[in-house]
Amino acid sequence: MRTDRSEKWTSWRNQILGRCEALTRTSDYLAPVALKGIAESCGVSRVEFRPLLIDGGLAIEDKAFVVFVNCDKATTSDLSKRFSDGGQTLPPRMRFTIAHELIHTFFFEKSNIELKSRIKAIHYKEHESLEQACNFGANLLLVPPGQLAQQLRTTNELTARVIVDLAKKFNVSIQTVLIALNTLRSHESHRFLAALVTSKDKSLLVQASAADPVTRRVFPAAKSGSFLNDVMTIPNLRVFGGCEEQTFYDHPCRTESAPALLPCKATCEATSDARTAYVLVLTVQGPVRAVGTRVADR
Amino acid sequence: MAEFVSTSCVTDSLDDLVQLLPLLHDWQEARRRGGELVRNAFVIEFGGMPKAGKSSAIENIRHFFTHGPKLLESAGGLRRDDYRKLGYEVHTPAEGVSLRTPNYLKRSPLDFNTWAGAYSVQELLQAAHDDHHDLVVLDRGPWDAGCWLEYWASHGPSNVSDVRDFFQLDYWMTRSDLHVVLIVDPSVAAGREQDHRLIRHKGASSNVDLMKKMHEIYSERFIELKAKKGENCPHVGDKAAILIDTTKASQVEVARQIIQAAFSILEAKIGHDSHEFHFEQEFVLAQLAGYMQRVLPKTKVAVTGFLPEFVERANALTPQQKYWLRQELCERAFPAERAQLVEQRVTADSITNSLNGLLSEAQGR
Repeated sequence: MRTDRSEKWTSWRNQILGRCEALTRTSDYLAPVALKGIAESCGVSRVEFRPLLIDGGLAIEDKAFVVFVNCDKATTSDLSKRFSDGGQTLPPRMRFTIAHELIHTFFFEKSNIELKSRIKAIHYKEHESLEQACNFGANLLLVPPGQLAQQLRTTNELTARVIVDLAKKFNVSIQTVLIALNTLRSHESHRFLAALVTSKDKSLLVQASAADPVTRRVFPAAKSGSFLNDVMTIPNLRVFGGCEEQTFYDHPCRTESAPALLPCKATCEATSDARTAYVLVLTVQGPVRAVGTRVADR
Repeated sequence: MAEFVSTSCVTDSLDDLVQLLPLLHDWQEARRRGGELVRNAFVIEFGGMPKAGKSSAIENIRHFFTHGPKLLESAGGLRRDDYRKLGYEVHTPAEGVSLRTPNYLKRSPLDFNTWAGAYSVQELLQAAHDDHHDLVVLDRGPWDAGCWLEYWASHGPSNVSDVRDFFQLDYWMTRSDLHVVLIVDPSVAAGREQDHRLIRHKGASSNVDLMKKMHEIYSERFIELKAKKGENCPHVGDKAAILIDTTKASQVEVARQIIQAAFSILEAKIGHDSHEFHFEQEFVLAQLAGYMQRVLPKTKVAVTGFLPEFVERANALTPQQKYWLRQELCERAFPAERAQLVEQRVTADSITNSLNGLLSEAQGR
């Protein structure tokens, strides 16, 4: 049964991928992606900003989709205007909510009489799978893989600053950029580990991470929810309480069961003035070398 | 086409008052939620000396309540769908003394003022039962007729006092929500009457003795009026009647004082309604209904299980906090009457976290 469901959702994800590619190809190509045109293509008659008890929702009104987005009552007019201008300047969280709800429209079919859901989602697990699929699609809409790959091609070195700039360019959260990087099939020549780290109660927690498949194998512990100190410790770096925003670091690992070091350049960048969240990026500088061999020139 | 009014049209001193405009709507909502089946207008009754600025103040107030909400809209401060976006409905019936009372009755000041007083009683009763307008502003009510009859009591037959007493019955005095009494220095009133006139006018305001006496009568009777209104509505107190000397005040200042008084009464009334309001699980569930249509059964069970604790904490709030929380809950209810949520990111945690967040915010107010 589980395999069947997996196949079903794999098929859905492929459909989402195809539709998102089509939608972002026809929409304004330049980042940030304009959501208004995409919403219209999805049959959404209106996006309504209003105070709600939830982040957002998809509703049907007069046989058409309406996306509801939670906001402060004082900002409704401003947000509506920003959406009618394309939606590129809306706050990242709201953009994600809208994109997520737009993906939900893919799961409906339109008959002459009504809009009918193609997924029952009456079971918790199916509901979860549906939500995950919509999050997956929202990422594809907001950071189209083609546009991200183009950005990576023109980037010499993937640093923390580059990740922050990408988030600004696409007007999305850092998490969305990291998820998009994970979704990407090709990372060009970049070998990296990127993480969003937050400081809470003197502990550094990994909120999200992204890596190319090869580097991911060296950092299996760098997962959402893990403590950063269990993954690496680079005392000089600002995120660890040091004063450097970039430094070189040899990450201990193993090669052919023998101790080895992976030479990396570490960069970090605070995501807000409060300095409670950082983007930390390790970019691999060379091949793994067994401990005891001569340090390669960097 | 909707008229666009820039916020720059509002003087700085009135900007804060514009922000309070939703109070009139909130009061009506509070009454409705409190179980009142009939919608009522807020009634302001004017009285006072000729040339004290009643008509100008009434026009200013009418304009403020009809046009003010447009400023809120353009500033993005409108609060809910059913809000009268383009302004409140304000009714300002014609003044009885100068515009309605037959002139030939002036031969008998008792009859003239009785006719004018009777007209104002009719207008007051209509205002008290007005379920269409949001605000009714009466230019001279029965109480004012009583003040004039008091003057004539010393110049006419003995039964004038009985008629005066009728117009100043507690029953009439307490029918309006706010009494505004304007007085002015008699010499200034005389000057105002002659300003902008080509031919010298000999109205009441030119009679300095009459004006001095009326100044005295209004000031004295106001004390009783204020006490009676305070007695009748303890939660509003003596705010329900204001006396303004307009001798040195500008028209804007006078209007501002009156509007402030009206908002202060509305706040007191809303607070009173909220004091009597008791959160029930059914009320909270009704606000959540739009979200709960398609949630998983276990989410429904978890949210319902959380409600007793929420209701208990909500009922422990102060009346003002309760009012705020009630408004927020109503405002955040999903408009299920016009749209059906088919997909939503609702979990028990998302709902309970939102409710807890609102409770914390209410407690912080």
